[in-house]
Amino acid sequence: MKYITYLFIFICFAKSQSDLNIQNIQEMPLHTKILWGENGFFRQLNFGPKTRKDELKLRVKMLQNHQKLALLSLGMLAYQSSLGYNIAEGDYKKLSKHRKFSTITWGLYMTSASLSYLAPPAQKYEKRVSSMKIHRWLSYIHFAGMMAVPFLGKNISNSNDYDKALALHKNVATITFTSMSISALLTILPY
Amino acid sequence: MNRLVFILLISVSFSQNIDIASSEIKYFGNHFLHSWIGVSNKATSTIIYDEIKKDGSVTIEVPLNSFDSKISGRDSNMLFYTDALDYPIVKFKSSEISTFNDSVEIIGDLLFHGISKRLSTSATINTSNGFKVEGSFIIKLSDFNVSRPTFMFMKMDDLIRIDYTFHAN
Repeated sequence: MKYITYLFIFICFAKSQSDLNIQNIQEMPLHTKILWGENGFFRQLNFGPKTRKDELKLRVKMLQNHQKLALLSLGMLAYQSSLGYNIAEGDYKKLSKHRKFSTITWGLYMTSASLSYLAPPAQKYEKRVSSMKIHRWLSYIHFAGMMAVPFLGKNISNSNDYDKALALHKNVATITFTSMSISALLTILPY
Repeated sequence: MNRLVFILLISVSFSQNIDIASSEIKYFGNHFLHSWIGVSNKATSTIIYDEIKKDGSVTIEVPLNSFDSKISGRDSNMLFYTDALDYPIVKFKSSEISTFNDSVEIIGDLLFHGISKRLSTSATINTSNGFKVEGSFIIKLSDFNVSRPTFMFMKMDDLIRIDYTFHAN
């Protein structure tokens, strides 16, 4: 399996990507290279728009929807945090609500993340650090957090050490929420 | 006949085709959440200036993909909304230049997004240390049929200020 993965990544990078006419293509994020590089996964499958112009159109649409859903999921995450804190303080009546909303929040977040991660490449990339680059780096943190939080939440009732399991769930959720909030704030910075 | 040749020689000798050493074109974008500046130093231009007649002509071309706003994602969006794959160059060509002391009023046609619009701009000319032309004008994106990007449910402003500076040695 490991070798198949290596081979797949090698094929994605094997050819030059100059045909896409993208400025500083070498700075393209790894996940975009794997999916949308000249020999990227989607191109091998002949999946997606036929022209670069249509790709850009799709990219803009996906990122616009990413923005809206990300805001919604941030709001949901804030609400989930407040429910979680109430439960931790002993208000167990809110547990069913916390569980129900966790599915909606997770689904919204993952849809939003997919719209960003799976979007076709931009026309230009850069090496220097910008607010949007930090926005992307932070996404790796909150994405990992969002992957872990539901399991850590389930683990609370199964764990032998309730306090430790609760603290872990709470801490990871807090890091996720904080990194996502900073990530959202960064988008309004001009540079 | 000799008199005509003499007049032509005089006028040619004072009319300069100015080679531009450096240029800077800036656009000022605004959104209710933030403002930004996109800068290009890649404009190519032909400036002919007659110091005696205080007259000349200007042609400027700038590739849209040369604008840098410090966020590549935003530059990429700009290239999308301006259809830069179909219309990669913005071009200005003067048709009338009027001189007033150290400033000039330039009237010309701006070709952007495949649409040509007449505009006028005031520029200052400084010849004390080389040759420097500086000025600005405002365009409306809607005049050029450019749809505006939306961020946080709000479109960016329709008005864009353009500043330009050209230096020659």
